[in-house]
Amino acid sequence: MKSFEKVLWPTLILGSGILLLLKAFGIGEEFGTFRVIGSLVLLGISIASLIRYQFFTFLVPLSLIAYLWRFQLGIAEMDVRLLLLAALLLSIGLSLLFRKKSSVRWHSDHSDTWTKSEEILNENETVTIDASFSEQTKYIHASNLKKVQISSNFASAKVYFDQCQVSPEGLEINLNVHFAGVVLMVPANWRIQSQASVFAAEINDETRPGPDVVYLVRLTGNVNFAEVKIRTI
Amino acid sequence: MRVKIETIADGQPEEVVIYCRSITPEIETMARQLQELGRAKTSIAFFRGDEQHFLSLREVLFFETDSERVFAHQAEDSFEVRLRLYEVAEKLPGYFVRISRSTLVNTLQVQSIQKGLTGVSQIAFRNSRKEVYGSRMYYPILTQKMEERHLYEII
Repeated sequence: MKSFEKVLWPTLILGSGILLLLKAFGIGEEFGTFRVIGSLVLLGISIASLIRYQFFTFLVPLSLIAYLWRFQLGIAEMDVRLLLLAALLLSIGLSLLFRKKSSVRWHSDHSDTWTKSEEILNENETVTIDASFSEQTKYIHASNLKKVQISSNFASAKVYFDQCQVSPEGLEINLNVHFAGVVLMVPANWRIQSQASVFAAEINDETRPGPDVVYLVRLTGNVNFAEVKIRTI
Repeated sequence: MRVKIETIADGQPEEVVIYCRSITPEIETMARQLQELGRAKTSIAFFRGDEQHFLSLREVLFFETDSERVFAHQAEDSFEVRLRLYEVAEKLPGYFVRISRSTLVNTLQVQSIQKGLTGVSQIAFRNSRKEVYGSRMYYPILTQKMEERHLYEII
């Protein structure tokens, strides 16, 4: 998937450059060069999101492309607000139907409901927190923590890491946060390194690690239309 | 209120009698507390690994479960309790109250309750950055227990 994404964006940028060149030569002006480039960028976002099972950022760009090309498509009376609302509802429905399959080895025998959240421990190594349409706090208890998977959609979650022992191999916190607020309360001897993909969202690291930093913790995953705060406990 | 204590002969049952003009909520709470004090309680054991710790229940902020294990939280620490949450609830004094399916809080340690738009309450504790969320369903009993809290503070 990563290799596909590596090809996708350069191809789209190259395509946009060629279009600008064509405009400079006065070729194909009837389609509107900037509209074509905008559509290509939106298409790129859409394809990249579909690969990651992010249905909202898959459908919204497609809706905007349809709106940009409404005259050519023969639907000039298109209502953009209804279109975006439809994209939102479709994305919620698809997200609930097709959950991203986890590639790590924890079991997932819990049922996802709109208000339920569960924490699953497996050999004290991985923890999964799934919060949807709810507000909650989670205290992680583990003696050899390697990975934490936090999925939060339309929810507010606060996760406390002060009662866990990090594995000597390090810790990865994988975020899958959409339209949600997540607060990570971490010990003072952690330093957070964010490698997460952020779209219309923010990751605020409010920690002030002291000189005795013991653990380097990697933040990975996707944060879209959301806010993640990291605070020292 | 006048307090009178009388000694009785061996073999006679010990009892507390409250003489009052009317049965008010305060009197009811006082009677409940006296009943709790008289009830033989088994203590709760707190563990960290194989070490057993001896804590005062008043210092415990809340008990929570992750559906597998139950933990007692103090301001900075937490300890495992090798019981089911409902078994813990049966052993706790009246100043503890259930606020969700997975959490029991100590009302004596509650600093603030912030009720959200959805009816879920965010509960903060004294001298701690720990917080818990309470379900809408348990909010009335939580507020009732908070009003009765001063009665437990004197015991």
